[in-house]
Amino acid sequence: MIPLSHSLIIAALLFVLGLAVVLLRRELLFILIGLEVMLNGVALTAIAAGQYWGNADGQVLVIMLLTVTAAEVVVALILVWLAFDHYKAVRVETLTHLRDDTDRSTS
Amino acid sequence: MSQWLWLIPGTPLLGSLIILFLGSLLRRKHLAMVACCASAAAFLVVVLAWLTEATSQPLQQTLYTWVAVGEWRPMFGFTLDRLALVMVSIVSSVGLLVHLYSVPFMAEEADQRRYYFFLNLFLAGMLLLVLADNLLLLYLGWELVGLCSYALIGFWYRDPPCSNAGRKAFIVTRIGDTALALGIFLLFSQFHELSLSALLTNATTQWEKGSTLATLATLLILGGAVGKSAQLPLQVWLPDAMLGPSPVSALIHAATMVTAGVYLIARTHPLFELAPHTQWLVAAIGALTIVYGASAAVAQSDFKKVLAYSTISQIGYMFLALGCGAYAIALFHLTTHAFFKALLFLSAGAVIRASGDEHDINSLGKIGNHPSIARWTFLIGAASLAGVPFITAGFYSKDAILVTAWSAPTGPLLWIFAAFGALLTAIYIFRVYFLVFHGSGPRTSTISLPYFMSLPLLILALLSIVSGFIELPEGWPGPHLWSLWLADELAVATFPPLTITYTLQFITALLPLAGFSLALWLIQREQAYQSLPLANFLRSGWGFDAFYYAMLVRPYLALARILQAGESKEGITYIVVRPYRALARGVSDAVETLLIEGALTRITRGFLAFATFCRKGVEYKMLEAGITSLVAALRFSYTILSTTQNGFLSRYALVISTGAVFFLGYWLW
Amino acid sequence: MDWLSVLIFLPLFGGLWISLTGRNKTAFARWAALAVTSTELLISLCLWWGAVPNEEGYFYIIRAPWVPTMGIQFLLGMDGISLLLVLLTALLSPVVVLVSWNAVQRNWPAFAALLLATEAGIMGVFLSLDLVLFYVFWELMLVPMYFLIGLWGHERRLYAAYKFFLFTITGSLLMLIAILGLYFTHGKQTGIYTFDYFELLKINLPGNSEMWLMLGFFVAFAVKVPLFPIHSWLPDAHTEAPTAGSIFLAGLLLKTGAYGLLRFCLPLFPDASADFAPVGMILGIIGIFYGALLALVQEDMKRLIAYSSISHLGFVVFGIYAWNEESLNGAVLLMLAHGVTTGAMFAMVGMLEERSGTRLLAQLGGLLSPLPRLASLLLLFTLSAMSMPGLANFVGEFLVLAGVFQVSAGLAVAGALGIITGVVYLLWMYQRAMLGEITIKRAWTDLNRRETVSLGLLAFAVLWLGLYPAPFLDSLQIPVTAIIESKSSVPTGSIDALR
Repeated sequence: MIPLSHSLIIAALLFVLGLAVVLLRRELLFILIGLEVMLNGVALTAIAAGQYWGNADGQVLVIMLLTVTAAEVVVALILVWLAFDHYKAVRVETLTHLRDDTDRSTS
Repeated sequence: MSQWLWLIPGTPLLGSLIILFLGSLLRRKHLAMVACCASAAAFLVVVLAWLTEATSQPLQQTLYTWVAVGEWRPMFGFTLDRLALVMVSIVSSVGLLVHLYSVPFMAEEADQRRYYFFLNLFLAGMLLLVLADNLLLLYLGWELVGLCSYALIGFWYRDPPCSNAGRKAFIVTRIGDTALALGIFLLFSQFHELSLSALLTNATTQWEKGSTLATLATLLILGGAVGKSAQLPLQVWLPDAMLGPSPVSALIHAATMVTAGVYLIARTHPLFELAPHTQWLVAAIGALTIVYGASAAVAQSDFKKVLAYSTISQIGYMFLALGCGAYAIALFHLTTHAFFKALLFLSAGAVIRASGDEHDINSLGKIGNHPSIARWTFLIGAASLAGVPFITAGFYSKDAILVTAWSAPTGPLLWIFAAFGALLTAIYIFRVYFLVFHGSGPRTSTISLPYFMSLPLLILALLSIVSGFIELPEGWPGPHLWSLWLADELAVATFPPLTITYTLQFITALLPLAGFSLALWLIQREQAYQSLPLANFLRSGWGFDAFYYAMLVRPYLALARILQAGESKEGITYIVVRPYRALARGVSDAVETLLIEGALTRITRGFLAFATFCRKGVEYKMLEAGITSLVAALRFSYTILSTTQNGFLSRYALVISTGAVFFLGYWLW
Repeated sequence: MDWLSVLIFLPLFGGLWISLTGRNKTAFARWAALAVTSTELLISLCLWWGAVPNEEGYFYIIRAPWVPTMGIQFLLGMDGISLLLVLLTALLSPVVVLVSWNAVQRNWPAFAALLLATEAGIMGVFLSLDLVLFYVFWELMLVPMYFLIGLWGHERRLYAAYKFFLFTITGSLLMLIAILGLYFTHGKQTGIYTFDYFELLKINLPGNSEMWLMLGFFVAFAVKVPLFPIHSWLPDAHTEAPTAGSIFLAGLLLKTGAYGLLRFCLPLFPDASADFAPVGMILGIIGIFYGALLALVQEDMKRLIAYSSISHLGFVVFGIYAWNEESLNGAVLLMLAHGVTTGAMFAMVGMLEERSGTRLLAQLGGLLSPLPRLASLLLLFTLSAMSMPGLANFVGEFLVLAGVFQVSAGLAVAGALGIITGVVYLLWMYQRAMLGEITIKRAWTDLNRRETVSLGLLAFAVLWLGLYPAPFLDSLQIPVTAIIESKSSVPTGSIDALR
């Protein structure tokens, strides 16, 4: 029987690792990978909590999460590919179309 | 007969629908034929109504319930009593004659389909108005004739003045109509009933004489009547309405629609009996309008505008009679007026058409060569309008009004107004007659009118003479058919003692002759280029148009423009959208600048810019600088804030996670 | 069979089907969209035909559990008010498809899908009686509308779409909070946590919180209606939207606001609404005059009609808050009438723009002679909008005023003056567009058969509503009585103060 704190620490580590990847890497694909790692951290918490309380909900949630993640990855990969297709870019610095510069020209 | 009542408004309506939907399949000539047949059918049904039991008892027909909500249950129902029968006969007969007259008159026009559609629709609306057994259906007819009036005044819509005149007529009468609508609401909220007969009985049993509610209700109804009948102060639309075709002026703006107000008051007269103040007001409006219209007519130079002001003035006589409680006599004048004024308009139309659409009376006199039928019928109409004694219908009806006015409250004053108006009437109509038909142009005529035009003129001329003989003046031996026949429904008028009556009748008989000679004198003056005193004032209709323009139209437009300016500056957006943005930006920016960008450079730059603003603020005037710096400050802060929205994904992620850490920290400790 | 769900899901899946299979097949997309919308019309007509009310006035009720643990159900119901508005939706949708036939040039399948999704959302709003479901549909109709404006609109479309979205989403978030507040209050009182409309009707709220919750709903609906201070999204959205979008916005989306007031604000919070009624009526009056005044000085025909909508919807709110039999019936009828009339007018402006390339009144003029059919139909709808007796708007407006007069004569006088202002700007618009000399010389073509059919349908509706509104009024009887009864316990002192 693994104590709850152990699995929680692992989960937190996974989450922070993923976050670090998201924040530090500049390639879209790596950011995606980072997101997945973060999700896995969350899933681990759910399993651990479920085991701790003796409740199956945690495992149900993880299975749900896996399904959703699979779909989400598909969509995200398509988006990455489309971004590459349109802008010939995989690095996030170049994708700054949401920048607000419409009004600045008038000032 | 009862179940056939719907045919009276139904046949012209059917005619207009045929013209509307099948008009593209018909030739021009056939369009006119359809329209004439429809109006002839309506006339025929009315004749049948006379021949059957309609004269002995009121006929009733209900088609279906129009709207049924609680007690608000107006029906599509008709009532034909004697009052309605009189109106229906006038409308359908004059309507038929005008339709016939239109056939040659409008033969050259391109868009006859529209003309005949609206003419037939007008007839349907007018007959509906007269036959309606409840107030809401009456209102439907009321608005329908207003619409047709709008469309026909603006028949030559390519001319901006024409369509402007139509619009003016619609809007001004709508003001009156709204008063009428409010009257309907008031009556409904009191009695929970819309049917006219039930309303009138309820009112007479439940309201006391002189009660506030009765006064209010009658005032509102009077508002509607004043708008439709072009009485003071809503008379401004009628002179402009003369830009429409002459047959339209004859039918709508002389004989029928403008008298709808008179009909409305006669129809609801039990209410007016309950409100003596309003009744006196009706008489006063009538008396004032008589003088107003007649005096303005004296100075006009447009042929048709003289007749328009004359119509305003003549309807003033009817209002005077209504105000004096002489409803039958008002209706009598309505009838004779319908005949002679339609006649005047139609013959004037023939003259104008023959002279190539010339409206100016002096120029018409110079052109000369007017169709002789038009000339003689115009003279007959003029004599009847002026009330030339004994031989014309106008004399009998106007005399009765003048005499009965004397016995009303403040009667002598009213009588003086009316008598002065009668004098002016004779002056202006004979002035026009002499200027047009005895001008410097050739008197002999080479133009003959088509049969369809001359026949209505002759019939109307005949009616303008003989229709007076059914009601001889008070105190004379001879028939008083009219007032006796209507006595069941409309109260009999009161007359002053016989000696006064005879005196008044004598004076009334002298007035046209005095007017005739004054007209000759006036023409001499005019030909010597001595204009009338106050001519410009009178010609502009006492300056009502300019007054209303300055007092109502201008401020209304100005208000609209001010609001529009407010809208386009998006004042409201500033309240909603800007704080939204500012809040969003402020939150992200606070994190951003403090954590990442390094606040120092920003703040320094900000202070520098602020200092520049301050320096400029000293240089400029206080007020201007205040506003500009406010705007500039907003813009400046916006510029700074908007840098946070730089589009860098990682930056956003960083901000979000920092925020999450902060929140977590707050919660945990 | 569960026809109410069909009404909602047929267009939703139809749209999905068109967008998935119809890539680059414009003709297919058009006909398919027409087929779906016509089927909707047919279904709703059949529903009307077979409608038998139960004692609460509901013709059909569908109830299925959705998220039972939280008390959320899939609860649809159709009473007289919903029925009429569903009919209006079903009538306008095929017209919208027909009007957009050639006007929309790019990406018809996507356009059709968004159009149908909007229709589904609107149907859902009119039918759902579970507050969560209602909220879902309320947002559902917003999203496709946003894209319709943003993708197929005119020059400033993005700005307009953004503004529209921002305003409505703010309002609906407030409504969401109010819904949750209602849910928890009801749960605490009775122990039953549910979003069921019928259950919530029985709630008895303390005065203060009732007012706050009512205001939450009111703001959401007032944005949609729109009432005076929060109307500024409407002129922009209507003007920049494509013709189809304008018709949907004016004809249907505005009605959802008024419908919400009728369905939720009044019955759920009768005391607070009764206290609020004078304010509501005054807001209505302000809207009437504000819209009419601004309409007078507009140069863009579409913008003019947009402002006239503010004016007309002011009458509707006016009638709703007068809260008696005449005025409520009138308000619903006026909603129908305004939907048909204004929808038709927007459609005609679209047709004019297709022909002349402009919507500016200064550049139009004299079109009566080259386009007689269009001009006479426009006259009909203009007359209806200025409440000509015998046409649709008149019945509603007069009922509203007759009802208001019994509550407060002074306000009724003000409302009646609003009718005059209507005549002023509408006649001015008609004169500038249709009368006078022709300003644009070119070969004009009058309405073709497709356009005549779509406008003819609306003209028929206008005449029917104006001359024989009994079939519509019959179905209103029970629901209106129910709304009035919800008030009956309330003292009317606050309204009397306005007399």
